[in-house]
Amino acid sequence: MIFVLANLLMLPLGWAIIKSAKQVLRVPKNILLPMILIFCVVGSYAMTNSIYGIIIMLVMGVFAFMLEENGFPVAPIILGLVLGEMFEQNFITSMIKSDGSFLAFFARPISGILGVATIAIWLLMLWRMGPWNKARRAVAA
Amino acid sequence: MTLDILMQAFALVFRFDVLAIIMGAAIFGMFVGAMPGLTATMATALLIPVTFFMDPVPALGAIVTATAMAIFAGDIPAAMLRMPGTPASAAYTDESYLMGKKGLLDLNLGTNLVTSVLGGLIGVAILVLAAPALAEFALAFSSFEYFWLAALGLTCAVFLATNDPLKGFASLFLGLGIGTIGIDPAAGFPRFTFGSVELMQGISFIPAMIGMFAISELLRGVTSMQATTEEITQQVGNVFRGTGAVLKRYWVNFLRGSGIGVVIGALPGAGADIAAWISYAVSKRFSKEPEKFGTGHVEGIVDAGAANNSALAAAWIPALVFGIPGDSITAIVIGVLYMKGMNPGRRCSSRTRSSSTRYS
Repeated sequence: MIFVLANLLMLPLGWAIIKSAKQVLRVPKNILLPMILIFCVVGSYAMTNSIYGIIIMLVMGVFAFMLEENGFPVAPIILGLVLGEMFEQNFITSMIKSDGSFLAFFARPISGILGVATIAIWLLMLWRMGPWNKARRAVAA
Repeated sequence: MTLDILMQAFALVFRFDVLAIIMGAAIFGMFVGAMPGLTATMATALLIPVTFFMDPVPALGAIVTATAMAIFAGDIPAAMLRMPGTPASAAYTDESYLMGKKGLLDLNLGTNLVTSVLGGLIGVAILVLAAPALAEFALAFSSFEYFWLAALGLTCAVFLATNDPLKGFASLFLGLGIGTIGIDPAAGFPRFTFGSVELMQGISFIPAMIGMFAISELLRGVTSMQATTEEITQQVGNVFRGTGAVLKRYWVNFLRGSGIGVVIGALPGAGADIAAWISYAVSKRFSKEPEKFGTGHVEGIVDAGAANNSALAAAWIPALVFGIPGDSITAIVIGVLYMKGMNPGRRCSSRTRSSSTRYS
């Protein structure tokens, strides 16, 4: 419902912002950027109620900036952080249930299909990275 | 879906405070999206601390609204300044700008607006139809299936987010490594804490994410501070004139764009920007007049404008059903839902109360 409402609201608001876009776009960066920085600091302090949150935010920010400048994507890091715990917990639970047998990951039908699909994607990626892939070599050269 | 659940959803949404929050979020999203360099993900990152103290329904509503607005509003500076407001508009920035130069700014912005709205609605329709069926299916899942789903989500993030899988994997393992800091979830053993009590709680997800998406953007903004912005000279007239004719002429493109958007959005790890790039490329490939692309032609804009908004909505399908994020925005939201004690995925979908929340 909110999704539908959100999209319908876009029509009048979108029209309004197109009209006012000239003004919005004129906000100079040297005012805008410090404002955002304040929001960031307040936000991360509010989340953890300690300076610890602000430190994490600043360190990760500089770290992510350096990574992105060198062509490393940041999205996988966030996914790793979010999914990492779920990944580990389900792995450990499964291993305990199956008494340490890796075959159990393929024993159930849906699980088996998902597993094969995942491994297929891994192999596809390896194949694309390999030295025998002519297309890639042409791009590199 | 029964009428009863729909009524409950209505009751949850149509309250004054919820509507006011949505309205505020919409204006915020528009503003963030229209500023070049501020992305929809950043809008979410800045909203999270505010929404954290709200009930789940207005909180989710605020995020959904703000992101949908931001993705559309990204089209505006693309057309006026040749700078995409969000990466999701980057695919057709040149096209939009050239249309504006030809004096078609009104038509271009109108098309962007209408395709964004309709594309978003199609994405939502599919979300509402597909999510309950998939949720039923997910009830049969055990830890084995969830293990593979998580693995698949992580893999797709690398596979789709970058054309250099090596760097993608490097980032992924960095993220997983950072995720291991804190208390081990299975055995309760502290890892990599170096005796620090604060590190025992792990790297707090939300500050980390605000830093990664907002601070890094800020630093980039500072390094390009000297870049001068051109003055916008054109007046904006009636944006809706001629939009109907465009839609009528290119309805196939519109449906194709939305379809591509839904599929890409529902895949874990790929979001609105990739959907826009791919649907723009597909549009060019199948167009009857591909030579017009890149000269200020409306056809590709119909495709990509619909695709990025439908992808945004479809990204919620895996997020709400399996707890696997469809893009970086839903990744943030899932992190928040976990912290609020709502488990997206299996437990959430089996209860009626949460299913009405889902429809809302």
